[in-house]
Amino acid sequence: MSCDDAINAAFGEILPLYPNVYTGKALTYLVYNYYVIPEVYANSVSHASRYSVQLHFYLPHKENPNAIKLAIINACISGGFTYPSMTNASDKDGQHYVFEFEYCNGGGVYAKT
Amino acid sequence: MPRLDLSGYDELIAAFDKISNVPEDVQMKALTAMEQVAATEIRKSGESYGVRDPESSVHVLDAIKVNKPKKTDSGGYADITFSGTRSRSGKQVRQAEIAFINEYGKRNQQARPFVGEAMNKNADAIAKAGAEVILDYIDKNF
Repeated sequence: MSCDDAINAAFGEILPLYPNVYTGKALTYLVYNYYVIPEVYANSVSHASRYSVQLHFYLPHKENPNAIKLAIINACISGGFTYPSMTNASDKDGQHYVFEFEYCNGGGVYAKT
Repeated sequence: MPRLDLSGYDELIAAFDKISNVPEDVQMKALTAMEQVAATEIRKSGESYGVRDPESSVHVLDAIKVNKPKKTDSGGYADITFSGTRSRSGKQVRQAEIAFINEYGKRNQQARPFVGEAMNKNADAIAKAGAEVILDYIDKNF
């Protein structure tokens, strides 16, 4: 399963979920981004990929985030991701929690340089 | 009856004892070497993410500061910080805050995790820089 498919399957039911950035008018939503680290080299070619994922949970200041936070953590566990760390990146525009975790799948495509 | 002989055990343990007692100045030198590699990679990662603001006179990537390592009971650590402030829209903003917002993004701004990616992708190279200092000391002293 691709990383995007795994993220959509795990978190898509919790809240509206968007890749990279969301520029619409909703106030409560999830955004994800990731970078890829090639792993498991054989004959100088990677055969697995490690994805380092950030999942951003945005909501207004007045709302209680705890139920969604718990749902995200549970979805990480059941969705095959590593247990997440969480950073509070809230600012004057609202609450913003960043969950960081990893995902791994086979079929890396990177040649070692 | 089969018999198993073991020789050199005392020498092996003595060698481990010596390695575990690497002097403090060598440990600090190793941390500094690791810091230098990490800071270089963070700067490169920031450039590739486009963190540098060409319209600013004080770039966040030029504010990366490699601090002197500090000793602790369990060894030591070294901080890499984003030092100082810059003017933005008429008010002073800390470079650390700019780096944080780049790393984690905000509403309507995509995250650019340049620090995390640099550390994650270069963990081996960073560790190697420290190991070279330690191994050089061991080569010269044992």
